[in-house]
Amino acid sequence: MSAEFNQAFADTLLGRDDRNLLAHLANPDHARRLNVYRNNVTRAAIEALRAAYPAVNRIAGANFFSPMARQYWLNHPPSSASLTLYGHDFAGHVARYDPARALPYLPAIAQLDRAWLEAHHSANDPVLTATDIASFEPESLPSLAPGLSASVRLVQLDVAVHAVWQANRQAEPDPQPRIEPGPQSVLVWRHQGVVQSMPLPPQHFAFLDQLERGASLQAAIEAATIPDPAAIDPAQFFSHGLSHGVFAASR
Amino acid sequence: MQRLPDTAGLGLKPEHFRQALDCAKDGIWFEVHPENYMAEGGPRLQWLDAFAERFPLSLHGVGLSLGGLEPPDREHLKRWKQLITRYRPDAISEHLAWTSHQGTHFNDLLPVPATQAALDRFVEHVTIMQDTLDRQVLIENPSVYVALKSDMTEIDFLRETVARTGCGLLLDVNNVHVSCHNLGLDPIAYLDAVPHDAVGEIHIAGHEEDAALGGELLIDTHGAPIVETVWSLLDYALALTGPRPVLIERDTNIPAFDDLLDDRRRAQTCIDAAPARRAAHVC
Repeated sequence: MSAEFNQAFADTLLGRDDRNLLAHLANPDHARRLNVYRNNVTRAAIEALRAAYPAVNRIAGANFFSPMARQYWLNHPPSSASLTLYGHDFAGHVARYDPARALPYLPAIAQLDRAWLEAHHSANDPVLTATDIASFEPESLPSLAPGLSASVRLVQLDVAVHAVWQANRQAEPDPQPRIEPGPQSVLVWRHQGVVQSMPLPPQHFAFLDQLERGASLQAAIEAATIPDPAAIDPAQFFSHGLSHGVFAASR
Repeated sequence: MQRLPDTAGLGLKPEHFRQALDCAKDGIWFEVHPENYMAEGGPRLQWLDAFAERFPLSLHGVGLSLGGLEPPDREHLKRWKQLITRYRPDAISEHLAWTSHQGTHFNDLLPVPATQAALDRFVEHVTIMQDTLDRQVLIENPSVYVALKSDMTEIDFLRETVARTGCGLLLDVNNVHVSCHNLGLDPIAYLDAVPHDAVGEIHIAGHEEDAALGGELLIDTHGAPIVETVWSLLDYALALTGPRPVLIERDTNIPAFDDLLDDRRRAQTCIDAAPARRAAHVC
């Protein structure tokens, strides 16, 4: 097997040129069969993306999704043998894909599909529980920097599509919810094996964002309450997050 | 030495996790693609924990590109190793095929010309896989759609690989049927020439005619019922090898779990009818 064979085959698969591969065929009539390999390879990538971005596929339609996914594959062919997390920049691709201009909220949908996928496959690291908290000296709590559980994704969207996304992740989508104008922050994470999501007010988002960056509880509360001290009840939000597995167990 | 039981097993699909886990422990075993479980965590891995605890398990790789130019990817092998440590499979397997080239992964089992240079490289790659994982690997014969210029037959290539690496064979009877049909070869002669003692597992599956070229070209889709010709070839193969683990593969157009159990029962009948093992294969 020569390097030329694999390179020639790769060129054929990427739709560039069949000519170099023809010299390796024992039967020239088989040239017309090369489409089988081309189709298999393209389909594998498209179907992996379709499975990873189900709400984008639902909203855009399968016939629209396939060429969009094919273009992504041509620009970013998989670099790993496992397609579990293939498509990390698909949201960016959707934003740049001209035919998708008519659906300006589609990249935000892709961002949420991606967050779901990453949360779903993230590590099963232990989460911080209320029992853990009870074991700490109360005066040490403000300096505690719990960090976020491995599954947490903090997603910032240009358009408020969370409700639309959620409806389109269900087997039978509800009547389409309205897309609210303006940005939206969404928390996506896995709790007891199931991926959860909820839109967050900016202060809650800031609080979690600070913890993700390694801040202490006290510093995170301060950062979150600076614009409007009344807008967040840190104790209540923290305890809600605790009971839903949002924080990482302290090491 | 770990080995699968000489019974019929099923490819495990996430759609069937619940029913499969609850099914009767009558010798059934399951096979998965390790690539689908190469994640840091999550419920899919926990499902497989439950299966590994209850049933024999086979990890059937599709992504190591043993037939490629470059040596097997170290990171991919590391993830293989982690899965073996976690799930303790009874068999591990890969393909006579390549899937990646210069960092691009094609996710298809691409054909390897049966040349001396390709054989030397393949032997080296199988050895790396076996040494790194510290396990014997079963190598599967591929479905082939085009005839490539070669120095030897596919069976000679596989026989040499077995002799030089100590690997076993995963004999895919549907692939024998599909390749022989596509290349104008005789499937019976192919099965006769297989080194029977090296066969550690057998696959059967459904195939379809190519949408564009029709009956000239059969495609190994794993998406249709198993045809009678393939069932007959299974009987023929089992008569040569003696009882072996037989897997029903179905990856697309996935039918109800009970339909797969029907296929599995039929495969078990074929295994039960096979003459006693002629020689213990190395495992």
